[in-house]
Amino acid sequence: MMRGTAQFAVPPETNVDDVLAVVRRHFTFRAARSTPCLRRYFDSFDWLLYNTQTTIYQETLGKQKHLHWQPLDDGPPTHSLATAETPRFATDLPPGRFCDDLTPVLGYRALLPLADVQYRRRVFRVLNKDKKTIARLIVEENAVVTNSTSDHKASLGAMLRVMPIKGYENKALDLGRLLRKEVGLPDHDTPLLLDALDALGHTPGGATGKKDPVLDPALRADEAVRLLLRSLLETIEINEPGVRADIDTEFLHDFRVAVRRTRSVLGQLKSILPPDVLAHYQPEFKWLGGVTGPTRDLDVYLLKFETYQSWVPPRVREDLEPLRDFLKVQQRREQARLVEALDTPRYRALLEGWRAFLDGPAPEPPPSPEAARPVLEVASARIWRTYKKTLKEGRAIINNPDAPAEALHQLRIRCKKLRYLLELFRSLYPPKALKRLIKALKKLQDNLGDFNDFEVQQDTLQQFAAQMKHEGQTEVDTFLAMGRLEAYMAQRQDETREAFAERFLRFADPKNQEQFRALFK
Amino acid sequence: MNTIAVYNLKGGVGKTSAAINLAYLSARDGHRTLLWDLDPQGAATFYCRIKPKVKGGAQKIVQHKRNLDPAIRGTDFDNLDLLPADFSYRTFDSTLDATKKPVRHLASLLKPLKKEYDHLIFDCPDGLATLSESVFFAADLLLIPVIPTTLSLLTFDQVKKHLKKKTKRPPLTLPFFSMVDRRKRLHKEICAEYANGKDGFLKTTVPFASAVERMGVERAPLPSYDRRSTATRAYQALWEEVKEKM
Repeated sequence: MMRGTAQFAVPPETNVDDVLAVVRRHFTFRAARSTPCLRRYFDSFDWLLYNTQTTIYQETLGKQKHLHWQPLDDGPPTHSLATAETPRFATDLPPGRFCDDLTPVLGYRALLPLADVQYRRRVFRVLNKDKKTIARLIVEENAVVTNSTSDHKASLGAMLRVMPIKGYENKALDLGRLLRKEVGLPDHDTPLLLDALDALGHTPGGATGKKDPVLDPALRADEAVRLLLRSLLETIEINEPGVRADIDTEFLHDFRVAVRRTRSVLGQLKSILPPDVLAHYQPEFKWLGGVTGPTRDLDVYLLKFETYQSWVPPRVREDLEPLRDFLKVQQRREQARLVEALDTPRYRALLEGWRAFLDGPAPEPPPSPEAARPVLEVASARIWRTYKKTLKEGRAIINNPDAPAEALHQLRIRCKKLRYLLELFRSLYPPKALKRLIKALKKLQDNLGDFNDFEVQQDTLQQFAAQMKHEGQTEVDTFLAMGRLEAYMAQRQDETREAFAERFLRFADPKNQEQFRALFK
Repeated sequence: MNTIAVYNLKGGVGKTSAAINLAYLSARDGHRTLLWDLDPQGAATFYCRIKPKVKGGAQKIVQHKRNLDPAIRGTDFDNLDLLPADFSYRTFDSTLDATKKPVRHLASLLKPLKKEYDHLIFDCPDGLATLSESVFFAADLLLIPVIPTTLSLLTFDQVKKHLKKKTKRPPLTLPFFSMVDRRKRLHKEICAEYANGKDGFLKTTVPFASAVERMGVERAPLPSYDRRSTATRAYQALWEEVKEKM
């Protein structure tokens, strides 16, 4: 923050005009009219801005609307834009630095309104003998905070802010000293956003369903697994409203990851849970994974659409637009189906029953001897076994250049299982070593994932084309462009296949093997 | 960072007015803008009510002994900062000549500012020596105000030829008519002749107006206190055109 910046709370018994009278004895300043001001603060569902110690707000002053991105501590905005639009995604911003810098921070996340602060603002310009502004004294009064999504209201006390001007910071320091020493105003270091959230009773950085629980290595395995499953269930519950409202694609993504991880635990740690529970919930979660799949596939298609366009020559890119429109329609259709599925008694029963089981006592006696062992032992054994299988399957592919796509698909699933295990139980192992292994695994997974995506997407392109033809109205140019895209995907798939051996050998290199052995054997 | 230089070989053509008003409009758009008043007369600095003083002067700036940042002053307007003029700038040419790479030197001084500002606008003094060459090298856009008279066009031709022949990496040149007096037949005729973009002339013409002259009394950018005059609207239109070219 710039030297000289200061912020003071005006106690309720102090009259702001009395304070100004004192300031006037020492400084010349020009008063400005009191203007109504509205600030609407935004962040993503998972607090991506707050976590980088910044905030974005839209400020309405009379007819003018600006969008500002600034440090959380109310320092001067690093990015500003005169615009009446509130962007939903970073990519909605006009091309430029704001868009370029925000896109990597927000990713696919939507900006959601957090709080509205309405207040009256007076800006006093402190002048030197040339009538040049050398500092600003800002009075903010009658602030009312409303939750952007509900009717909750709260009021905030009056504030005085001293804003320095570059090259004249000493004057701002003098002014701050005067307010502190002579007027006796208390410094107030909390940023406006945090005051507003506090007044509404919100905690910033709150639950987003992204934290895995920390496990005690000595904990009984079945207890530990229940902890993990409960945390995954919370992730499902937290993301459900966002999935229904289709706010951004990450809600469904996180929802599905939690479902897949749950399935992975059910499938891989079978002996730890009671057989009747497994028999009931495994198919139920499989169903949930199934009904959420088509929407996610279409989301991915739409998110990657510009990339796909970049894969065909520039002059035919425009021809792909009808495909985008088609995908959008399909996505809306599938999204509606997904919401219908979430409204079914089957879904309610699944979540309620699952919660009741997880909240209930651990079965006594344990369903198997393994369930009673310490979680560290069970997790390590499981990870080691999965790792060995991964190596075996990978080597088989390396040794057979004609290995079918199916074999790579199998290996991809195996890697996924390994990844989930490593991530679920990560709190049991040294973070640095585990991070290295996950990174190595991720590189291999990227290769396998790409291979699979190219395979699947060629098929779906065919299906889309058939469907579009059936619906009529699509020009032949579009089909030709789709054909080019498909050809490109086939070529990329071959390249990915060729890159596999190198990726796998890097994952399976002796150093990593040693590390796996040291951690899990 | 986009670097825009407002320059003409000839003096008294409305360079400073264009520089400060465009800088103000850029800042009002939300771009972090720095105006560097390179003219030792310090008119732009005067308009900003800032002392025409840089500690150590051109000498220290050029010697790299002085990071530019401490010399920068905030103006009365959000997002608009000024690097003030200094009387020592009158010998800027010789100071630059004493360096190893006189023409590239200025550009290298600007590097640390790239992260701090979106737009840098130079208000250049007239003349055509090392400082001007350095500005040409550093700038992306070269805005040239031209009075619509035969002599002014001749000067513009000289600049154009010089840029073509002598400058290694000439910036995009954007001439526009300035101080246009609609009552004068010659002004009207010349403007009409260039209206279709001949020689790269921008569409906007800035009128000769008392409102512009009053900036010396108000000591502020014109659009900050006058929202309606034809001159204000002309600068706004000019800024829109410049933005398109960036």
